[in-house]
Amino acid sequence: MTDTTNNYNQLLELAVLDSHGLLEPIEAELFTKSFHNAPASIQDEIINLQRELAEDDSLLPLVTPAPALKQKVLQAVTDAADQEARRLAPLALIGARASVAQGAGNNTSPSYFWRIAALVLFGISVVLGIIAVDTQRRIDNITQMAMNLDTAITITDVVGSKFKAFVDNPYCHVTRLERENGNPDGYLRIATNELFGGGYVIGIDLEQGEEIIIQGTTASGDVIELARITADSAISGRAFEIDKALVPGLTLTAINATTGQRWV
Amino acid sequence: MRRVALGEEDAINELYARFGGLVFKIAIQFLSNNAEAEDAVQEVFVRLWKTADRFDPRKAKLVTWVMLIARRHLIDRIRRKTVRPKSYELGEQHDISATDAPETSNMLLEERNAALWKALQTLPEMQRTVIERAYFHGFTLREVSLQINAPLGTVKSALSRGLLRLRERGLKDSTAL
Repeated sequence: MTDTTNNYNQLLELAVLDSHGLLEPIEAELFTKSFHNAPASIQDEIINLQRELAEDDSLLPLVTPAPALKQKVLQAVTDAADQEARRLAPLALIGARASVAQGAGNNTSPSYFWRIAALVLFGISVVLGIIAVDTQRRIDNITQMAMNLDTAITITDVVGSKFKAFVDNPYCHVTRLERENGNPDGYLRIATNELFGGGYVIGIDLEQGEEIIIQGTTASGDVIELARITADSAISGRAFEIDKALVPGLTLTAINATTGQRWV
Repeated sequence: MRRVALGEEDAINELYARFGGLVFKIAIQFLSNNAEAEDAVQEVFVRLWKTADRFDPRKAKLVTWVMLIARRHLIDRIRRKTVRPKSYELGEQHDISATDAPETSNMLLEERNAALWKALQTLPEMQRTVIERAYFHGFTLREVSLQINAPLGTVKSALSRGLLRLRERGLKDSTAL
């Protein structure tokens, strides 16, 4: 069997796992990259396969929801939208003030923007041309990576080898934090070394650009900032320093640096 | 989905009309009672509203996206409910029999999912084991690979093949009725 056939089969296997929500965030991201790099005919095949799997209810229970559920769903979405609007209201005000201030001092002509846009588009087309040459090699590599490699190894490639040193260390205590408000998007995994001190934080599937401050409350009640991470991809991580004497009894929490939302 | 992202009530209404039944069915398959399933359906639609701007029609049909969000949410829910030893996270090996009953199983759940359990029994042991653990117990594929002492790639292949065979079996049974 050729490498191409292997990759085709692996891509279909990943498509099945992806449609069932069984890929970890990093694997799902690699699958998406692989999908976008695949030929159009294979993309169509994957889209159809995933649609068939999603629509298939032959093994699902023969039940129908109560009519009242529809109203509950609409109410839940409305409540979530209202909550989000209240949360973002101060930011919108800041944005509005900023744009008013910017508008007051803005006397640049529209043709100036068109020239800049033309230059930017030219630059993008050159970069895309270079990327296209390397695309086929990347398809094979990415599919292979998503299918065969251990998630931990893949994560190591993204955030560096220090991560694995902490995760594999029997003296490390690993804590998982989730958003206090119950939003299940993303999580943090923090390892602290009880014997030698030090730690590592890794954020999985955080919102793009989200900045998180990791804090520890010591046994004596002192709150210390341990690390900050900013989500620039599906996985972000970094090592941090902490005295080994502070690790026993340390309670870990985190907060969003912008919104103050807590992780527990 | 653009209108859903904007929170337009008509759009959310339409989304529910198209997929509410399907999402409810999958929620019932995963969860032990109607109340939990109804809660989960509400959470799934809130999540669909929150992530609507990420839907890319060039990559997937809408039904695929909706069911992906629903299944991910249900697996997350099972993972949150299940207290697991820290050592799983540290990668130690554990012996769990392939015939261990799912923690969420009860008579009602099995009765509702009779067709599924029946179809599962027709699969080779490896495929059945990985489906039960990854799909219904909420273990990650890495955890499953450590539990059954098999390479991660093997677990992924077995899971994928098992899910496809389950679907073929389901289609065959439904057309035979």
